[in-house]
Amino acid sequence: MQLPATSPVQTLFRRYDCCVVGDETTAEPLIFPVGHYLGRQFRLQPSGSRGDLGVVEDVCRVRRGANFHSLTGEQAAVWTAACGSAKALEDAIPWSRQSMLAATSSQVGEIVEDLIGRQLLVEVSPGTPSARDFASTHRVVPSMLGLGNSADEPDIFHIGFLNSPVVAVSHAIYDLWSWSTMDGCLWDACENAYQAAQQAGIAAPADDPNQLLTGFLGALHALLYAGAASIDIDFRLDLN
Amino acid sequence: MSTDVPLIFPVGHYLGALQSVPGVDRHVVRIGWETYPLEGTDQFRLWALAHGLPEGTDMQPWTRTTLEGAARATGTFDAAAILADLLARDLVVEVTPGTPQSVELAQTIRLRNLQAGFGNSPDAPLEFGIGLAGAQPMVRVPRFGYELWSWGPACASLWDVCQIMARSGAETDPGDRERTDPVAILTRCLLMIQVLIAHGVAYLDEAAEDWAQPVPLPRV
Repeated sequence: MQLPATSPVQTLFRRYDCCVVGDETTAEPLIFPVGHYLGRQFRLQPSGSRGDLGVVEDVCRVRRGANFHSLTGEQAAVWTAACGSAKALEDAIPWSRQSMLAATSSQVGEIVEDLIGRQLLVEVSPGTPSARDFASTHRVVPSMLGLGNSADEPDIFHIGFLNSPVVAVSHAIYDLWSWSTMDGCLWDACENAYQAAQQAGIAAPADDPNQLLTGFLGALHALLYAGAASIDIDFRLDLN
Repeated sequence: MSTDVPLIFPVGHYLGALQSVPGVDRHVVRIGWETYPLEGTDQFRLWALAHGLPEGTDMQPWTRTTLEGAARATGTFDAAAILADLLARDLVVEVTPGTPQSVELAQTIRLRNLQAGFGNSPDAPLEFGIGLAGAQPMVRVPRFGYELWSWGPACASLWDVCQIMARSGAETDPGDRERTDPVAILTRCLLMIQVLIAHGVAYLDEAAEDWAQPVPLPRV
């Protein structure tokens, strides 16, 4: 299996008006990849009598917390597919295990189970205690630049590269995305965003942090698919 | 590659031009828990130029002289005054590798990465690509740069990165000062960070003060 072409470059420019929509829950849990993709890596060693270099290792690597995980090409393809799909985003289809299997191959069910067991995939039901558990143990890490808004569309905020927006989101999503790397976990980011809005005397983007989390989870695949963010666990290294 | 002149680094994550006031050109950069405005085109242009020019791993060290030259070439003739303001607000930092000041700086900043890894290839096993998944890599760096980019952000400060690399080097290459002395490693890191920043795959942020659950050191 080849890695799917998930490049947002090929689909520039998409707008996902990711609003904080409230108490929506999905029938099936959403599925997310956990970790930062580091690419396919080869290790070569001299082999044979002439000392030609031969490939002794060919793996795809993902960093999750302080650990590096090796994936086969098929496993990496499934992990990448969990970022979402252009069609699902366009049609506002929640990206779950079922929708992912339908879009790829039903043969990868065992790989999904394996990656969930290794905590490289996670299933989350927005609006339920599992969402709060996920948000309390994971953080969202921005991987692009914020490009701000424009006078013409002050409520729409762009993310991408200088002069090359990749994805457009509402202010509530942009605000969470911008600050998420500073908070230990996504739940802290939601609480801080909610409190900051209240203290600033501006209209809160949601009734409470839980509602903010529900809305953000619904928008997260747009950020992951665009390459604008990744998910990591809440951790720090101990030097002592 | 080494340098005995101060290097220039931009600090912060760019959060865009925010149009809260129509017609006012106001860019925002986040450093730690604070946001800093870059007022007007010239401040933003100089902060952007402080990233350096993306000329691959052979790029020349980016210094005040090269920055001011690039600023003049783009029509900014009062770069010294603008730079003084950016330096005063820590939006740009200047440090000479190998000095006590470089260690002090490394204790107060951390590296954060952007984009995704491409890995290497059998044809070029010593070059590791970084960029937007599905597109061409923005830059190809040696293994040292790739390791710095890929797990350096897991550390609370750049100095922590150097200490971990030094411990690892003490096990694998005990006689090699370049791999066992944290200050020597920091010099290598600073030069490589200029490459990463110039190609838009990393930025510097304020060091973390307090994080969540400690976990054991990784094997590097």
